[in-house]
Amino acid sequence: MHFSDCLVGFIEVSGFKDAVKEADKDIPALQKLESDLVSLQERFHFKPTDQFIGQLQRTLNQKVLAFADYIVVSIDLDTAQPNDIDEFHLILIGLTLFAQAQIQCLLDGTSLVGGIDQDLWACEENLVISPAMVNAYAAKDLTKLPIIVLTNKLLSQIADKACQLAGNDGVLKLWRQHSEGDNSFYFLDYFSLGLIHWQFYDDSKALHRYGMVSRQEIEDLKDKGWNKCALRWIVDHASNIEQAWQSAEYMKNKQSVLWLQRYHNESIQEWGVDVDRHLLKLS
Amino acid sequence: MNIISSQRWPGGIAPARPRTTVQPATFHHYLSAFIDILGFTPKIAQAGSSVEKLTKIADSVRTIQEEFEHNPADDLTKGAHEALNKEVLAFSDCVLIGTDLGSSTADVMGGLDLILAELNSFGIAQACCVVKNIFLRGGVDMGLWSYRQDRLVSPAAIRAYEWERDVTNPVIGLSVSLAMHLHQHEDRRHYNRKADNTFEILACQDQWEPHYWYIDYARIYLSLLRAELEPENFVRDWQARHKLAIETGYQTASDERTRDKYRWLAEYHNQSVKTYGIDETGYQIILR
Repeated sequence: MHFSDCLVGFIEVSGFKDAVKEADKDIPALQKLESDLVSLQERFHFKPTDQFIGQLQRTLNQKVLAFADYIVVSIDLDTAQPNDIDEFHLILIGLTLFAQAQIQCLLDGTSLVGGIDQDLWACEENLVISPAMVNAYAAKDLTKLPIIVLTNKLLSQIADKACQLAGNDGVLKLWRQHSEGDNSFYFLDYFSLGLIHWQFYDDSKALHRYGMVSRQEIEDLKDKGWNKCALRWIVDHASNIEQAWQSAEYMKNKQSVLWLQRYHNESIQEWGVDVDRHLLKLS
Repeated sequence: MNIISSQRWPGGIAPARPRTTVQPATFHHYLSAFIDILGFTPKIAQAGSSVEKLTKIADSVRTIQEEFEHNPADDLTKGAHEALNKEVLAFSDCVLIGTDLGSSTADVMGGLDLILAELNSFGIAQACCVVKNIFLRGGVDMGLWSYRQDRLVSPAAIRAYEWERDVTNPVIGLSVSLAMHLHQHEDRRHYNRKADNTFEILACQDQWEPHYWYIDYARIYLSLLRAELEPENFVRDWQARHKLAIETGYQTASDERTRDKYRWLAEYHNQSVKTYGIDETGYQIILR
């Protein structure tokens, strides 16, 4: 087997096992749960049909494996192309891709839990031997909240460099600290990443004009498009949490939704969003 | 709205495409087993960045996949899987097995015999793994199962997975509801009480809570070997290898909890050899 240094994520649908067990013999409920797995597989681009995504996966030497009710994604940090991207930036790109898939699953109504680590990985068909995967799995188990936990080892690899860059870029918005009992850990700050990364792709006219207008106009267009998308993301995220609140039956689910509300509200305050208008109040 | 100035990163988020609509999944009643290597996570942690040790672990996983017939190469096994609508899924250190209890083969065999045949085959596979120093732990249950395009939705598989975590010893345990199903199975009425061998391939762990029935792999394999042409050599060979595997595991165990598992296995070995094997000097395990 060939072992290489990889960024590895282990991702599940939040509360999936409990929901399946509870559904037991209720076939329509089980069918609905299966559709969450469709979302998980599609948003992480397991067997992509899109040429661009296929090319991106080859460029990053990215593997997406689906097994039963979870997804394992690896990005090879040794052999990814182009060679001029250093390991640090590859990890950032990788984390962004995880956040992107997490956001899109959320917009489908599917919450995820997971863990990400960096270490050795080898894969031949369905045989995976990887300390990184084992660590990512353990990180996932640190919490029941619908978040993707980053291992301390991974953070120690990138934190120093991230701090150096913090002055001129949004790097520190990639992760956020959370404490639970005696445990304190970092998770992928998908909400902020959503705000950073929404671009103006949805405005096809703007995209068409991208190469035909002045630099200032491009910047204006980007800000306009970005603001539009960011606002939509904030509204969609809030709406998703409200729906989860209405369907949360058990106390632990309610606790998770309340935590999401706090996360949402703290984030919009940090981002200077119109708080009076977008503050989420669950009732 | 006053959002702070945008900062961008390569690979921005394009608006999501609508999710593909798929036909609703179909569910069938399956026997489901979840089996994995005992102590896989500590082994990986101990291996650290040693490629040699990690490769050795990979070889163990390959052995399990082969013994439990994941991707069988021979037509006979493939045909048997097709006839039973049997799925053997493998990922990393675990194997998930699903057998359709409503297939046409099940109709011919009868529900009870099919379950017993499957449990028997798990026992044989486990006996082959153990003598290669691969100790397994597993859980078995029954219930609904749907598997397509690498997506598995099955309450039975989840219960088997959870039951595996409750099984304290390196054995494959049956869930309480499955054991009860076997106990109350109406097909048992077809047998004379003396000929009813339903629980012969199973043993009961009743020393501590939770009590459970598990697959008695040593009995299954020793009985199988006794049907060979020259049974004594086969039996002696298996007993010796089983003994060596347990002794080696005990000596290399890193903590008392793991050593306790090998103490239990030693007792299980001694009892099995005494009852179903060839109980000669040198085949009993005395751990020091």
